[in-house]
Amino acid sequence: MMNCEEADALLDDLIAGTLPFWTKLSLKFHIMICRNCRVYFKQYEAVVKSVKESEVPCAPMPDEMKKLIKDHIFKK
Amino acid sequence: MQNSDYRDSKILVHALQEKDEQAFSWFLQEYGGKMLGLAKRYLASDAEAQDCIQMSCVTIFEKIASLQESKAFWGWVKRIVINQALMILRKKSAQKTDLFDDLTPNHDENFDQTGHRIADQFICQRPNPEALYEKTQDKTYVHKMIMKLSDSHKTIIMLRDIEEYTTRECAEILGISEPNVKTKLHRARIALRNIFLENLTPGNTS
Repeated sequence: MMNCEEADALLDDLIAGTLPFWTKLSLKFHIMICRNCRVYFKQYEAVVKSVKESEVPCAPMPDEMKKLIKDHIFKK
Repeated sequence: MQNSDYRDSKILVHALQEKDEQAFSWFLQEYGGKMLGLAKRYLASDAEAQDCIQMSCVTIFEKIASLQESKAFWGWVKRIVINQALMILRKKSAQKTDLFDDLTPNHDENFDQTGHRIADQFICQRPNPEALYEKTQDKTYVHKMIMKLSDSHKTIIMLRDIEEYTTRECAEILGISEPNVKTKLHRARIALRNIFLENLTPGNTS
């Protein structure tokens, strides 16, 4: 049976959905019986999912900057 | 040529290859904000982000002739901006250590000698799941937490989780091996989980 460290190494593949069936089953079994890993994995997964769904604020480009770039490129 | 014609990336790329000034103005108008937003994800200061965009625009203008697939225009621009941002980060960290040598926290500290997980404060305290759920739904908060990461952790999270580059593409961009990308991503996610939960503790308002 896998220990916590081995389970931890598989966590990213579990989130990505790339684990082979039996490895996934074995990992899920570990999470089910190990309280520390269960709590940890839930927190880890929640944070990773939130990052994937996060929005990065847009940053409008100041007109002055546009002019500077254009002047530089077209050597005005 | 009307400005609206440049919405067709084939026309835009062709005009930029012809060094058309009007097309370049349109490009800055339409893509400038997106490019600046992208640079700010990697670079801490506005001045660095602006330098990054200026240098990226020069590269785009010089290399546009080599772009053959106009449909891939934004992906190509994005890659130039990211490479430029990473170059700035590398220059900054050159005096201290390599940007991607930053490997804190030490993974082994989380386990005892038999490979069992050592419960850290966030496992022991078990922060209120509702508070955690609420914060993970707050997209601005998530972004704020990402910005608290070190440059190396932030970079790998941005590339892999937000830009959604594959492990292989990340390895190419960062010049490291694929297993190394996986290790660094895992450590960066651990660091983010810790920052996230630290900021959930009562009394911490950031």
